Amino acid sequence: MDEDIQLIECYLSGDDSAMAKLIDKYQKEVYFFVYRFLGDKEDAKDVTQTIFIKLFRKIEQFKRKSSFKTWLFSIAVNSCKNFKKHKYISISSEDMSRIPDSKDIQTEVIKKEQKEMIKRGLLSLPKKQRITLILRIFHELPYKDISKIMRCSESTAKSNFFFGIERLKEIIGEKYEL
Amino acid sequence: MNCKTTRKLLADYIIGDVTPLEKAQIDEHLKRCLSCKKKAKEISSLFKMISSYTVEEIESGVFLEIKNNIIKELQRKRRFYLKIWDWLWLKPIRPAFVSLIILTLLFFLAYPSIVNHFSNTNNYSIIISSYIDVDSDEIQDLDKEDIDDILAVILPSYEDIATFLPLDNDLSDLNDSDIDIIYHALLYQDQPTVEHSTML
Repeated sequence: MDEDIQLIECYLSGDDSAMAKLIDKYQKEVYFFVYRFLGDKEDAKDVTQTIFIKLFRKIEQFKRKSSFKTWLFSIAVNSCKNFKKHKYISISSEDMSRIPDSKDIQTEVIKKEQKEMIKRGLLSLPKKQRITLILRIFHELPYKDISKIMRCSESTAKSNFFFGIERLKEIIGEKYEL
Repeated sequence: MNCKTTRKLLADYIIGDVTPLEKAQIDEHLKRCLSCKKKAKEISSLFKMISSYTVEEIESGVFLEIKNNIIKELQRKRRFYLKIWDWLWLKPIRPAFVSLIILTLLFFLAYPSIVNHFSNTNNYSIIISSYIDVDSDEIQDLDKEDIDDILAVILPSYEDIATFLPLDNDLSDLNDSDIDIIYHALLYQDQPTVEHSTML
């Protein structure tokens, strides 16, 4: 039996250490996903907690049709989408152009700026493209899992990824030569 | 493979998530298409840049804090629900508990008629006690036979009863509605109403 399923069984039979093991195994991955989606450490912390609390409360509803990780990420995606919508940072292309010219700045500063640029670029993408890009690039999930998480077809997931990459390339290409 | 199909697969090709056949076809296409080769280079540079986008240093203890908060919250809720579950849904008493709920529901459904019955009894006892020297509480314990006997005493004669009831009625055959009418008549010292007569 799958290790995650075993841990779930143990948790359901009252073993709280199984819950701790599941949290240990996945919390960093979930935290990084949420951080990349929301772009804020404190929010990422709160949302990660919420995701796991929701997960364990609904754990009896886990039908085991998909992997535990896929199910976990579908909860994470929904929580991120529903998180204080007004707080989403919307960045227009004018905002992007305000970032100072970096040609004469030291390498470290450039790297930091590049990070900021990617962060802002990601945050400026439509939600579905942003989620698909994060799941595909940072979490290396196949389209099959992404389509389950996003509740869409594989071709939609592929199209979201393609257009997300094109958009990000466009945003970053405005400032840096690719 | 043409340019359109190649470009759609370029990102997956760079990630390394294409089939061996697709990979061979893209490799072949890139050898002869400078435009797609340029696109592939751009996506590759973008991925290199993205890979540098690691989450900034996380303060030590953040993950421990998250974990503790999750466990604390879940255990708090779990304890609360478990307490209720333990007390109310212990397996052995489950049928008894369900029966109790059903009985309670039935009681409340039948409540109006129960109340009506007791209130009627109470009325009878008040009426009878106004005629004879017995406490109303004691009268409540009387059965129909006793009530018949009392009626015989209260009513001056069989003829008097006959004014309220058809003559062929025997006292021992009196039913609740008969008694009710007689009480009513005695209490208000009047003749039975048309409504009462109809009931008889």
